[in-house]
Amino acid sequence: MQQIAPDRLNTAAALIKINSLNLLLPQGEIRTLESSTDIDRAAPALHSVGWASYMQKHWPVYCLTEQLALMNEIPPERRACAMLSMGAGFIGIMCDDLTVIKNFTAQRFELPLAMKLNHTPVLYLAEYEKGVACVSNAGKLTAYIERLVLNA
Amino acid sequence: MPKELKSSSRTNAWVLDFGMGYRAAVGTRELFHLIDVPTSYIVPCTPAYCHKVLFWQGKLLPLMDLASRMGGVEQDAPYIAVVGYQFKRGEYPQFGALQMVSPPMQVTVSDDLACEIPGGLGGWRELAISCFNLNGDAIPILNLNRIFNSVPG
Repeated sequence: MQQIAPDRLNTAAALIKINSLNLLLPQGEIRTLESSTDIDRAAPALHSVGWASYMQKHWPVYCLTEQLALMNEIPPERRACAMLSMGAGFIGIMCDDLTVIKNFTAQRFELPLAMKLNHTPVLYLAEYEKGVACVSNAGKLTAYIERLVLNA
Repeated sequence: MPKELKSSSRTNAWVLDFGMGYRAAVGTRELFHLIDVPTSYIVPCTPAYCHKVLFWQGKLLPLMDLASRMGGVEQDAPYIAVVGYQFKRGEYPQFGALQMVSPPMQVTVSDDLACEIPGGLGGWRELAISCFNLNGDAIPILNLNRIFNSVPG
């Protein structure tokens, strides 16, 4: 596996927790964080779990497993909703917790070839708190979810 | 705890047991460490047979379940073999990890033990470079470069 020199992910990183999954995104790509109690669960869009209000509009919210598969219901531990840019609009992703890490630096590692499925949203892996974090970005993650929804 | 592996001067291969009857061999120089209390981490959106990584000597290694890759069910294997291979001759080695259900076994392989990679285990043809006979069983010799350096189909 190729090791990549330590580098800043961006000026700051947002760590999204989904069960044991640590998902790192550039902090600037998280527009806002909503509480799960603010999600309107009535008449959700296809394969979504509800709607989040942001900038006077409603945006679909998706709930994922730690394997990044779609869920139909929001489990109790998903207490927050991270709003990401998606094209000209937004998309909500339920998470257990979100932490902003300023000046995130960590050893980065390429995703091994044997693990690299087409359409994976994982750009590379990073060492994080004696474990591993999966690094992605809003573009990759929303494209991945869009594909999941279309193929579900 | 990691263990340094040493082989006698006579042995030249390790036979690895991946579970469900799937066994294969690597050269003694290809097997670097045996880890019997592995801590591994799941990576999403990866093949079921290779969905975990582990840290080893400052590197992050893919953990391969060859029994699952060959069509068996996922194994909860207690041992891990850290193996090294070269993408090209002379290059710095790359490393990967193989799950095992038991510690590896040392064997001595000579040319007269060579046999065909069995057709019944068709998948081995893509993952093995050759095969030898061990007490009546065909044991494929793994092509580690192909196993770890190919993108899932």
